[in-house]
Amino acid sequence: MRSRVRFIIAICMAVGLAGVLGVMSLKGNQQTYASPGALVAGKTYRLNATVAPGAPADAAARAQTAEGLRFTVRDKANPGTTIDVVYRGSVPDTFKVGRDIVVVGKLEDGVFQAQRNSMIAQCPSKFQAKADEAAHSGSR
Amino acid sequence: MSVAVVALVAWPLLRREEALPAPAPAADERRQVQEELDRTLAAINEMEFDRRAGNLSEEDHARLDAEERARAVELIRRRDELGEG
Amino acid sequence: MSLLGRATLLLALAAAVYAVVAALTSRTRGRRGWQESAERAVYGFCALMTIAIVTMWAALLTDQWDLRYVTGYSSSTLGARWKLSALWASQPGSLLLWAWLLSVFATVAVLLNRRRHRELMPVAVAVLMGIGAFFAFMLAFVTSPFETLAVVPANGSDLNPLLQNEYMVAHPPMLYLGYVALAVPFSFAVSALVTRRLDATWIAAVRRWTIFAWLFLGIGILLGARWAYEELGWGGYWAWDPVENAAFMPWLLATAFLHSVMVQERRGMLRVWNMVLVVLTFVFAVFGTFLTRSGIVASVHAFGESTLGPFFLAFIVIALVGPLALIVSRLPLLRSRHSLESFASREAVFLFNNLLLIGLTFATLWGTLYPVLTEAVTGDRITVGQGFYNTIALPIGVALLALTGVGPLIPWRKASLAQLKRRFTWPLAAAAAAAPLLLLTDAWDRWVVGAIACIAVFVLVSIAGEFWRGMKVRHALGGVSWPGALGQLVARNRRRYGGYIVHVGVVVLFIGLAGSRAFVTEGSLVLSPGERGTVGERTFVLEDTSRAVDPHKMSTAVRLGVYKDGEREATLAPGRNLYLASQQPSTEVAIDSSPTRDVYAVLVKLDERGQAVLSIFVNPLVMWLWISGLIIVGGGVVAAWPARRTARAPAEAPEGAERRATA
Repeated sequence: MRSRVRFIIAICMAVGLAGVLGVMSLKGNQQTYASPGALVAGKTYRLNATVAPGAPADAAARAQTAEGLRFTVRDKANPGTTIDVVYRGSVPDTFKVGRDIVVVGKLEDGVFQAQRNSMIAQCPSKFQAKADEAAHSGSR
Repeated sequence: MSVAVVALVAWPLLRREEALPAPAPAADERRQVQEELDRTLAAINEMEFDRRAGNLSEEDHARLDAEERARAVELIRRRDELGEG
Repeated sequence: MSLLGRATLLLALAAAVYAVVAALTSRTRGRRGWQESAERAVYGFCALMTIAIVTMWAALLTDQWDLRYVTGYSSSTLGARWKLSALWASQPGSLLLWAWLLSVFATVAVLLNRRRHRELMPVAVAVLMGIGAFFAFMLAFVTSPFETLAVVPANGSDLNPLLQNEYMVAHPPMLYLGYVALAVPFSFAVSALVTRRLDATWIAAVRRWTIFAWLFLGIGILLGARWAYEELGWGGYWAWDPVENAAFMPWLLATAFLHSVMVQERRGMLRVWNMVLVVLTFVFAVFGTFLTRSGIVASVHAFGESTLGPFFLAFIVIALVGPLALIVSRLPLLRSRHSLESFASREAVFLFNNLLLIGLTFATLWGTLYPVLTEAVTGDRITVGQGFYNTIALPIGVALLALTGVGPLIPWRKASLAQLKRRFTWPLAAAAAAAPLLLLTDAWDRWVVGAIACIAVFVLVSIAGEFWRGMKVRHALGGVSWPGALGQLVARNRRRYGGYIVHVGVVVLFIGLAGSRAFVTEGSLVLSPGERGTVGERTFVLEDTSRAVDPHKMSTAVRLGVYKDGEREATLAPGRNLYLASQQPSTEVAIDSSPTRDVYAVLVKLDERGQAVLSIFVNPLVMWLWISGLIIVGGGVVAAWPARRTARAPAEAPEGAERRATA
């Protein structure tokens, strides 16, 4: 019986430890997924939006310069809402106008300042991407 | 193709029961006891090895070895009860 | 071809359902014939799935543009081997691969166990074929790979160029071999629960399957990391992306099971725990497939929205709740035969190892599902950054590393203090001695790296001691040479020494991880032909640029000379391709690998005047990650290799232990 008590204590300790670690880590690392319309200055977000027309073709090269890559994204559900993004670092190959991307960063003076190397472009395989677009335009 | 599959699958059902190997619970039981015995003997083997290698002290080995051997005796008794199958 | 494929899938579904019914019927007395019939239905299912997958491959190879799948993932200019690999580029194709592998494993499991574990077979077959029926159903009715297009296009839209990579050809099948092989231990565990045959038999039947699955999952994860490293061009190999986590979690759980199962075999403890682990491991494997293929969590590899969600969720709930309910109802039968005698015992070390692995698994799960959970609760999708995973994985990983060194030093059941002192002296002394030596290198620039290096030394000395003492005994026993003694040692106890080899691999893995995560040098260069630029302590010279066009793609490349301390160190040729069918660019990373560091160059852009924009990374010790993979695989193979039958013969019994014990 004594061993069972010990066993339970050990499990409780592990769970407690994991819980503490979890809460502590979440505090410093939370990033809210947001669309361009929902940003509040000073908070870290994962901005999830669509690359708007006008993004440069040599995006990857510009993101390596000191000024960074500057482009506009629009809200996925509400294309009227847009915001400018400044980004530095590696740009995924799949980055192009009309692609959904995620960048991590903060809103400063009306511009979304992205963290270095934080860009993810979602690369749905082709035919499903088309199907998605069809579904989206149909629902709108 | 599908006809062949259906024929193959249905064949055992059409044969008479006697044609099939009779289930032998005693044999299964015996084999399980034998497997556990093998594991116990392997444990004794490993402890002896660990004693020689210096991984186990003489006192520790004597105590653990006695218990494993007792278990082996019990298993051998059970196996022999179940017959040579 | 579409007709053939669809018909086979329907027949396969019928075979699977029949196998379930027949196998369950055979449990009634006097109906043994049904069991053999069910087994044959398993073979039939395997044959039909084989036809289905071969049909799909044939369709891909022969450009059947009337199939939606072929059009979406292939093109006429695609190379034959990429056409074959297009099968696992998407959802329906990878489900087909899953189902086919399951049918093969089910067949092998039946052939291997039908005589040896006769009592367990009916339910095991029913469970395996139940899973098979689920996948066949999905393939036949929900996400068919054989769907046809009303308008047949002239060409396909090509395979995603990111997937046109050697590692991507091998990575998904390896992962799937691992995922699917976990279905066999699951089915035997459920069968043991249903039939109440909860002795060690089912464990013996599934241990090797689990090692096999664990091995292939590990290979798959490493290949995926290598793919990310070589193809994605951001200089790293692991980003805690949901799809990476999806493979990582079942691998962790399988690792936990492989350790705790030894405690059950040796001491008859942790029997409930092992059951739960087997069930969880399989559920996580299915969940992994679901996660990567359903798009519920935003990920780099998201396959878009899908209709699979509700089906998979229902399947996961059944696979989780059913067996857990069975476990609860069989609790009295699963009582431990022994109890933990001391915390200074090998079983206690295994217990801690398990708790840590489970903790890490659930932390990973928590992080992966956090966006889904927060969306359900607050309406906002909130995600955790990589920092979350790193802060949790680092301490747990270091603790696990230390345990790999502690485990072999502590005997089963209970260790006396004097004995412990004796065994820990050497490894601890070596670790202490290594600390000042490491001051000579730059490892102590980050104290964590220094600590990991010390623990690594501790573990290596502890394992080397195991080998050394074992060899001494073998050598003393019979006049064999020292290498012969080593060979005998490993051959006689493959699991133990195979396990140690895996541990050496884990140490090497940690060294690679620590070095490559802590000491990266990164920079970007803009160079015209003939110009030079500096990153860290290296100078890069742009020597040549080139452009080429073939029917499939347009490629640009540059030649970079790398100089260090005035001497030429390497030549790198990074490139950038534009695939014509999809109009998508693809980065061709150039890497110069050596044991101490990788120089990693990405061509970001090459403009008309020949000016190149480059990203450069210098990553120390990355090569050791891949080397550790080879060591771990080698150790795993040693551990899983079947012992020769003769090794079980009574002649091998210890000094006639059997005879003496009887006397």
